Amino acid sequence: MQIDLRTVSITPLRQTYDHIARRLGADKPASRYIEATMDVQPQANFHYRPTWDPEHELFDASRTRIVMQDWYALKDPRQLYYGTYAQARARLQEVAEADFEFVESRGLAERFDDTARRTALDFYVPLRHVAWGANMNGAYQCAYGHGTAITQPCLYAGMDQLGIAQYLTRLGLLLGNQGDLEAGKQAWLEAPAWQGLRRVVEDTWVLKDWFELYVAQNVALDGILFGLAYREVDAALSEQAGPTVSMLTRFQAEWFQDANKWVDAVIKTAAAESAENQALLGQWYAHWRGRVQEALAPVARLALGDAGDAALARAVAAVDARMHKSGLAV
Amino acid sequence: MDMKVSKKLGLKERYNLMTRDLAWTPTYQALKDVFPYMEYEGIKIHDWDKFEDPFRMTMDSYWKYQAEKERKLYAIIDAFTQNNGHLGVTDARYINALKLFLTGVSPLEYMAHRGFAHVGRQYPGAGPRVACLMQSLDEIRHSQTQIHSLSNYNKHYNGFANWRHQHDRVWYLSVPKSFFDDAVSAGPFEFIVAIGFAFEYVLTNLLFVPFISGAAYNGDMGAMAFGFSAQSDESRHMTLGLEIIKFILEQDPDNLPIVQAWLDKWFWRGYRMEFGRDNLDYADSQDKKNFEAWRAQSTSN
Amino acid sequence: MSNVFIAFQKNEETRAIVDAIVADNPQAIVNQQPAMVKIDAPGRLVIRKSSIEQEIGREFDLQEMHVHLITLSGNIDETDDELSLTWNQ
Repeated sequence: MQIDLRTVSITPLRQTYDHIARRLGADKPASRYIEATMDVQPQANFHYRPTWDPEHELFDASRTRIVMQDWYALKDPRQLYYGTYAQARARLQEVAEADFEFVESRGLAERFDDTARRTALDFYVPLRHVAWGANMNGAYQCAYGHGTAITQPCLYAGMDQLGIAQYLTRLGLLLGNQGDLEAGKQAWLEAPAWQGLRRVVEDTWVLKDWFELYVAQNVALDGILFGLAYREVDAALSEQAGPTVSMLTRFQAEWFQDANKWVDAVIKTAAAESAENQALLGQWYAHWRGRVQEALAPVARLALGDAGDAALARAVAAVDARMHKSGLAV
Repeated sequence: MDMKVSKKLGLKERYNLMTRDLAWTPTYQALKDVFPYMEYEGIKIHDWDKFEDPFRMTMDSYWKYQAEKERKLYAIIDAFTQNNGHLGVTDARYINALKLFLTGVSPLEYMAHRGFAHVGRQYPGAGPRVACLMQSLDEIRHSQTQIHSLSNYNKHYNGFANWRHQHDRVWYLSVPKSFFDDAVSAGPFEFIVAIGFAFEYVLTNLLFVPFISGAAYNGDMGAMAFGFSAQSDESRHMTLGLEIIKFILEQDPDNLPIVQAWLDKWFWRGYRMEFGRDNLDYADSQDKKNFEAWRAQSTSN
Repeated sequence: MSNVFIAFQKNEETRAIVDAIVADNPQAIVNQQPAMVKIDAPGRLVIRKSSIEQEIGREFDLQEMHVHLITLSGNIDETDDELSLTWNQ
């Protein structure tokens, strides 16, 4: 039996916006990601130069030494525009919330092994300040970067880090109390074990080249720190005292997987563009990897004792492998 | 093991721990190297902690509620598209208002996004920084939901397809373009007074609420949905603008004449931007003489 | 004295929110518009979590209001239990 749906069918005059059709090579339907991202940043006829940076135009590709023929080649493989970003994070949030609820309502925090508790508080709580620094850097990259394809996900990553700082704060309040947050901040400001890392964070705050900042923060610092914190230390604590802390850091672990898809693609595309880009990215990576590894050594030992150095080396090796795959000479 | 039960923290205290307490004064780099643009406008801030956070929304709540808004909004946009809702728009001239919107306003949302990312990095105070960065996120939301809502009109009507090219070149669009280029190229304090207060607080209701009412009146459910949805973000923006200006003025009496001069400039620059709302003259009679009368009447509200 | 106001989209959830506001703010005036409901009050308006929960029949986080909010005026003070809008004259 044939079913005829009586609807009005109108032939559209066009499938998408002109600038999108030019990029697609033909007037074809375009995804929401493409329509929301490609060529959205203005390029022409700026009325004024910024009074806060008269050396550059409002949007200026020369704010980095990386050179791209087309900055929109740096598309995000996750295809995150605001709508899909908010919904993706809301899904992670729902799970994280349920996990925090579970730990709290079952009294798992109270019953947690005291030695493991102390380690978790001493190690994870100060990391909320590293995440705050990452939030500032994400804002910098979005503000001064070039082309919506790269600036958009930089802001998303920066705001994710604020969320991470807030989850770490809640971990501190659940496993401990406000006094532990204060102690963590004191350690961040004064304890010798943390000063190398704090110096690295503050040094990133004065980097002018936003792409170098991307390598320092999103590749080196996030890469090595998250591997150490949410794989190595997490596994050690789980073995020692069960998965309570894993539940409270689940957001970070899953976020890291998601973020790496993007980071690896950005480096790969930028490195493939030219030998100059590849060399520059390689130099930046080598420099910041060195600084981060040195800074994290005492922190890894704080959490893992003698096993700290080997764990840190594994975390570094994992980022090396990713960057090698992305085309850097590592 | 005896666990001291923490006193349950109130929202304000929790929010402080989740924002201000995360920040610290750098010692390995000079403060003025980390925040280089704080002095050149002559504004004096003695204590950033005196800033009162308007809304106290942590990122987890932000994602949760914004995602819900997005789900609802795109459901309406999809329904409107599937039903060929544009055929039900009661007045063809209304479509021209939408063309003005996409070419004139949507690019400004994007400029606001980048501008708030800039000031959200440059203010030393943690409270204003967080509020500004959330606004930056909201503004890219607005720019993209508008591009998406109007995408369907682009398929069936002329005048939408070249919005990017036109915004940067068409003579009457130089009004909105120069407005935001001027604001973003100004210093961080002028930017926030111009956009956060003069534009978002004083003028935004005048521009958006009549536009959205017009959309509802004309049966454009797509635009109405994105308008109402965007306005809820605007409530947070308005409260940021109001709180920041109160904060700046309370910090030092020397700030007053500077801020006053900015308000005088930006109110009038913003008023001229009301060209967007002026296009709603389609809603009144065909008699051209009524345009001025209509505008005089509509601004008296 | 200036009015403070708050405006919501018209839907199932805001029905309960508006009823709660009216119960807690005797001087509030409700203005029904197509797709929107606006509430004005002289000087101060208070929105209480407990009152909304009574009207809506389930737990309600005050920040859920953001999904339905259109616009508002006044200085905000937000706690877990109440949201108030005020003009200090």
